[in-house]
Amino acid sequence: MSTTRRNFLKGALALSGVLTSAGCMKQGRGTKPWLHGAPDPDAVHAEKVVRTVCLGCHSACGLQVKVQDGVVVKISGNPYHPNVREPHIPYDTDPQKAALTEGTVCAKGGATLQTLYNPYRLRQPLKRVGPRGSGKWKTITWEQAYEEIINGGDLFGEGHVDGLKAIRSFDPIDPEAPELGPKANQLCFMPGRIEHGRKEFTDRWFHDCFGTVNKRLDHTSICETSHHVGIDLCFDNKHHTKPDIMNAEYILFFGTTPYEANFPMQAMARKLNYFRERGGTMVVVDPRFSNSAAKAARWIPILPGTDAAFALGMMRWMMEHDRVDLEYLSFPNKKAALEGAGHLTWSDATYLVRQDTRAILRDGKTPLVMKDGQLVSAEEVDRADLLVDTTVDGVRVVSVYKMLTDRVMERTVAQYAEICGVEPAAIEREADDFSSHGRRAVVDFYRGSVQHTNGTYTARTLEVLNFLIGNVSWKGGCEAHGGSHWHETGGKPGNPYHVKKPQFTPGKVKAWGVNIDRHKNHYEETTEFKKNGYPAKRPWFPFAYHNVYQEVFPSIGAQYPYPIKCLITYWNNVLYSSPAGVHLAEAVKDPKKLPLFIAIDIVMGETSSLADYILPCRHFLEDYGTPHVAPTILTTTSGFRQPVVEPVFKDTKMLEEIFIDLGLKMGLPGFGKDGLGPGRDLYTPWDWYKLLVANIAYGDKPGDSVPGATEEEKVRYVVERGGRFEDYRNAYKGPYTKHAYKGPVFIYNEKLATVRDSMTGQYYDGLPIYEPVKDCLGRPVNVDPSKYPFFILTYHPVYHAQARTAASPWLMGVTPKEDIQINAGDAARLGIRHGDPIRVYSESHPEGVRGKAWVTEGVRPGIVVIPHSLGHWQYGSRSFQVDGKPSEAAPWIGRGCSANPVMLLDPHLKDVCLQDPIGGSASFYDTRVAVEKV
Amino acid sequence: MDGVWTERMEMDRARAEVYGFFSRVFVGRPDGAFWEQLTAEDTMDALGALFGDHPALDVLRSAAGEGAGKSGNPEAIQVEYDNLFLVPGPYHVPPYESVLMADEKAGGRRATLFGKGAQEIARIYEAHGLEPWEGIENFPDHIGVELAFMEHLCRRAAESYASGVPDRARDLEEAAARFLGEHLHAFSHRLASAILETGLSPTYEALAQLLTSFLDDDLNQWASTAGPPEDGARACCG
Repeated sequence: MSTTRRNFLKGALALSGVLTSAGCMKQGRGTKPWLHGAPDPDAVHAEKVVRTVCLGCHSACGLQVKVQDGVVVKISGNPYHPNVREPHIPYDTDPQKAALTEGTVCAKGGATLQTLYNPYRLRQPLKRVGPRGSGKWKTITWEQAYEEIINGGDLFGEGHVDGLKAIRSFDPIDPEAPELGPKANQLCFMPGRIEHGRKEFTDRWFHDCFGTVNKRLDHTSICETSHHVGIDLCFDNKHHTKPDIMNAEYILFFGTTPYEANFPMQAMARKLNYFRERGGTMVVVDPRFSNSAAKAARWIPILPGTDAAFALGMMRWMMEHDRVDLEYLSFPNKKAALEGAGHLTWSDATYLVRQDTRAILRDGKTPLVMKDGQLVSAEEVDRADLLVDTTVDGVRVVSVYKMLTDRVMERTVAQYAEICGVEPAAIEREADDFSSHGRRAVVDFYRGSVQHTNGTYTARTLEVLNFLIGNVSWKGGCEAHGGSHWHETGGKPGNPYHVKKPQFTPGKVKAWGVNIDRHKNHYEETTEFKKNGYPAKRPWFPFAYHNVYQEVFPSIGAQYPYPIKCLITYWNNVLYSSPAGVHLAEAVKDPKKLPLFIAIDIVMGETSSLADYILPCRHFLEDYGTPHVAPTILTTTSGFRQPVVEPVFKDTKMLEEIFIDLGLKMGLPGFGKDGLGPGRDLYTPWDWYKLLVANIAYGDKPGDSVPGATEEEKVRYVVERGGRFEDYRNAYKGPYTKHAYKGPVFIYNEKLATVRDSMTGQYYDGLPIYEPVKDCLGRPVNVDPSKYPFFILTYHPVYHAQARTAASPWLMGVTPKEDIQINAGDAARLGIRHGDPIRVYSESHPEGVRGKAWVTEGVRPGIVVIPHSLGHWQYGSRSFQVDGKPSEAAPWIGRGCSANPVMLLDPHLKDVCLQDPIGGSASFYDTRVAVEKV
Repeated sequence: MDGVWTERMEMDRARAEVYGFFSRVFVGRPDGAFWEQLTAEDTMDALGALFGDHPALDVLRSAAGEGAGKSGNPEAIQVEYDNLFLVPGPYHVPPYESVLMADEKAGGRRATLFGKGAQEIARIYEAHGLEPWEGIENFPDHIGVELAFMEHLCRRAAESYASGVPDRARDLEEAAARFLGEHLHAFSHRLASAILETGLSPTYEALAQLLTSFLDDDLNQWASTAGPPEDGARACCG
């Protein structure tokens, strides 16, 4: 560089106006363009606008669908619906005028147009003509399908098969083990995704009309069930929390990427934009640099499965720096908390735990606490002692908060940081920031934190962070209720139809016994336990109140705790979607172990391809439903899903139609004339849904009805708007959210602490805790890191969801061909360049999966990441034979690879992935793998 | 104001402009006006005044000429920026100090976005009451952000001289010199080499060469002017 001072000054000053930009340091705050997310006026005109609810993912966003000549031409957001607009339009807006307003729709929602018209959809009932899984089928009529499924016979030339009529017996499965229940339990229903309105309908069919306890073993345990279970063990009957984003100042997200997934992604992303514009601090703890991390103030690339250690480290720092809201924790009851500091909730921090029985010390049902060293009822004092360790009647009792501090102090912040693979300063900084915003800071978490063997413990530990700053139900804090919904199945004073009451199911039967996956069942209550003690043959899951999806197929294969005679799946893809799912095929391939397998599906899914019969069902744009939304939405919301066009393929049926047909042909109670009680027939799906919509229209309280002189008019009012939606202005009430949770929060869970694991015989832990990865026998999972140096993770890209989005050419078109993300440093060490073909394999799956390397710095070293939704081997990507001819296929649907096949099998069970013994979650993030260039 | 302080103020103000220019060159995806402004006659004159007969200027002039080079249009320069700094692939050059300067002998343990190095740099910004905008292109150790930080320090130093607070100005200058020496200088050379290795973009090669040339010289200048200024100290290159 050769110049003079004079020239330098001259040249430099001349550059001052060149390449003007906004700069990259915060010195001023202008309105950012990403806040203005409302789409431009829509140029697409249509003769009809129908409002329904999306099922591109499970966010349940309202859709406004434009239909021209009976064809869907455009999908946008329903402006009445709070998921898709900030604020959503007033509910009394004229529907015609509302059509001029657009809500947003994400890529997945817009692309559902393509899955509706997917040419690879199934169009007629199919019956296998070769062995299960041979890919050979013949078309049959619905009548033949119903007749054979109901009555059974030698259906495949392989011997007699019981039909549904024969299976519906109320004799015991095993008189020696009567707790298993009646033979009717040998019918098992496994929907993949099933939502409100529909799930109550099928529950009624299977549980109340047929009589099986195996009524709805849906997918939740491969999603995030330990998140729900963990939260449920922290609250009184609440299982989902979310930050009040619009008023928070600081949000610490663990294991979730709200700009790509979570519920509802659109609303969370939009609200987070406002949050950031206000100067809110978002921090993302995740081994992968997600879209959300890209928008965060800080990204903390933690080691998988160690979130609880991070949280415990934060707790330690907060305790040592006087950042815990001890006043809140010292309130022992509702009145004390409200009058003492305006809290709507109170904690169990002052309750005393008996160290002999692990139970709360009580006088009758009332917990006892210490007040100035005196034992008193928790209901009678306004404050109680937090740090108690004493003896009462010869029994050592310790207060919950004292137990928590002892637990937290077991490790230093540096030791917690070492477990997490982060710097201690990272933990200290978040502890400092989290505890510097009063009640306007919040910890949130989702799937990434809980789909581990320690998932429920992690969920409880993260949630307790919120309790330590007393933020529950406050504006800007942790929301445990949300706006919720009007009760479509009735039961509230304003609802006209309480459809779960016996009078709505004349002839209702009582299903009872043990579930095939042992969820909500206690091993200690069984004949097997009395004979054999611990361990059980397979795990039992007394706290997994949803179900344990990945455990169903291996249980069928093992015929444990009893054989299943008929499996009915609906829109379900166990093999593709479960960790190590490819190993599950053997469990259902053998007709001797599973005599009858019926799949109800929209396409030839990987799992449906193993069925005996496939009954083709409708797309959600041809369906009904009353889906709910997550507590992200603070106003009451009842979406209504309805058909927007005539069925694209005429010989398909709604799920409800199929079960009404079966119910009528079997003579089950509760169908046909007066099926829903006197004067209420059940011949069509609308016969059911019109009652549900009427309940929504009338509302939960008397006088809460929508406008309309008659029930029909009220129903129409809701239908035209795609549901019922509370006004946006009603989200808050004073310093709280309007529909706030008003109950206790539990740092210690007595129920959990006093139940033993069915395999180890050990008590579960009632406190926040970090626990390393373990197998079902409680042994550490030690896969040799020198052979398998990487952990494998999955995630949902913003343009994909579950198995089904691969059928959209638009979505696959924006999906990179490079599908295995690996850290740049790791890649360099292995000689892998971006785009190179590579193989990822594990101890459980030596063959591994193959894909193309995506070399990036956005993944923590030692981690490889494969996004979900790719790598189908069926789903229309491969031809099968129908009536002796090959079906059409689209290989692009099967592009890429999936991480699930290489996930680790439990070393003891060897036929199912690692599992959380409490919540029942399948482990997606605890598998070590190796990577090689091929 | 003392004549010496005036000179130093002018020099810091000039430095701020140059750092600001290069920050804007690298900090984000170039918009439609970028190419037009970069190749404008006034800009070329200004760069000529700054860099004399530096061969990179010929490359820029050549690229600006009709039909010259693959960088020579607004769309091409956007594609080049994307391929260099945004999209994983054969041309990717991470514009982040902690990634590019990672010690591969240590198994790539630091080759992660927003790693320890980036957080250390963020703390330096925070010590000066600043934080970068959120977002992938604006991580604390992004080349454009580091240059913006230098711009900020130099501008604040100039303002301090103008306000009659030379001690504060000297502190800011020392902070700038330290940051340049400990972070930006070596990083910019590695970045320039990496861009050159890709062979993708004559324009960004030239701009990176100009940047390193400026930083080399500025580093020398900071060294030569360390301590209290002497009368008539030459505070610039040439």
